[in-house]
Amino acid sequence: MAISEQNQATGLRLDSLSHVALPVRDLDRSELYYTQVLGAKFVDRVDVKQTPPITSYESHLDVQWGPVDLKLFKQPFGEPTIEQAHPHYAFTTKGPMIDKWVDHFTSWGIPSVIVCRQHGKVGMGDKCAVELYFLDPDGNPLELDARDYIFSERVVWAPYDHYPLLYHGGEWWEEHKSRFKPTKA
Amino acid sequence: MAATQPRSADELGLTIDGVNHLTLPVRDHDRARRFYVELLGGEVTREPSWESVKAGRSNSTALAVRVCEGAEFDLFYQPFGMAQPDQEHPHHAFFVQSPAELDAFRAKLQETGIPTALITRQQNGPTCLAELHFNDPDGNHLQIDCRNYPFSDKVGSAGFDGWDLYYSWRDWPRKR
Repeated sequence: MAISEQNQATGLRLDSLSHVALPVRDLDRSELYYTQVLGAKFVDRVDVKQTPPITSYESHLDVQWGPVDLKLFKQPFGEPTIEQAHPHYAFTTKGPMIDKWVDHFTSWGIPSVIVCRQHGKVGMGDKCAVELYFLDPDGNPLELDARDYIFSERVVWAPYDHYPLLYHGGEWWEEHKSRFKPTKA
Repeated sequence: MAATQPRSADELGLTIDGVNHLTLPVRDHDRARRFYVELLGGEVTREPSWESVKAGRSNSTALAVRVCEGAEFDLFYQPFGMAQPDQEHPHHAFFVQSPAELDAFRAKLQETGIPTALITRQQNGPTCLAELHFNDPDGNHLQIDCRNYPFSDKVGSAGFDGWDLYYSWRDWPRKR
């Protein structure tokens, strides 16, 4: 039986995305990054004092970015290495916002790169599809995609070098922690 | 351009519209297709193609599967980087509407030899927010949630051991 026929036969489908859970090391740092830099809405935060050995990390920060629920668990390992492209998390934005996001990230000291994969099909001034790559302070790879960006000198062709995206999360926090105001007292 | 004083994304009106895609590393596209399409009910939206890799334009290729409304997995060939069994995060979670659907998914998973753990962290009287935890054949951690699932002694409330969900990708699906 063909796959599509089998799906119709069972009728069993997942309904919607519940959440995406990412490992982070410092919930204050993540709260500043995800709410102020990315503009996610604070939902909840649970701080649990745990002492080793820890088998399940319970402290977490819940935010909603656009329509997406992100759960940021305080688990001090498991982020992808810079050479490891997957898993990563890609969200959609509009073309005219891409340059604004890049400038915004630059103002926060966060490297980013705009990548195009439409080799030979688009050039300077053309409307094109691009991917804007950047990392959270723990190294989790994030991406913003737009299908209507106007090709500019900021664009690089795929494949791109991941290493320029690296920055030191601890140093980033030292520089910006004065801007942190906890949402939940 | 010189860096300007940081402001919040809200102040600047920077927004996103939704999920474009989520990527996962897999070792075998055929096996991933059987899991995400035949078992989880996803729809293939793009077949893997090694042409752009051969041309030097990409590092890998993906089977793209829409797993539910608004969420697509790009399953990239990358034979490393999956979460360890006792590493809970990252994970990806989905909803089903009814307890019957959650039970049906659990039965389908177990039928092919995939261990599952059904737990809750939120009990509201006779019902709970149930979480069905399991791994794809490559060890990526997945979860299906159901609100208003009837609470009973078959729903665990003390977490689970990730090693209980481990199975070898090479042995899946289990031979009958």
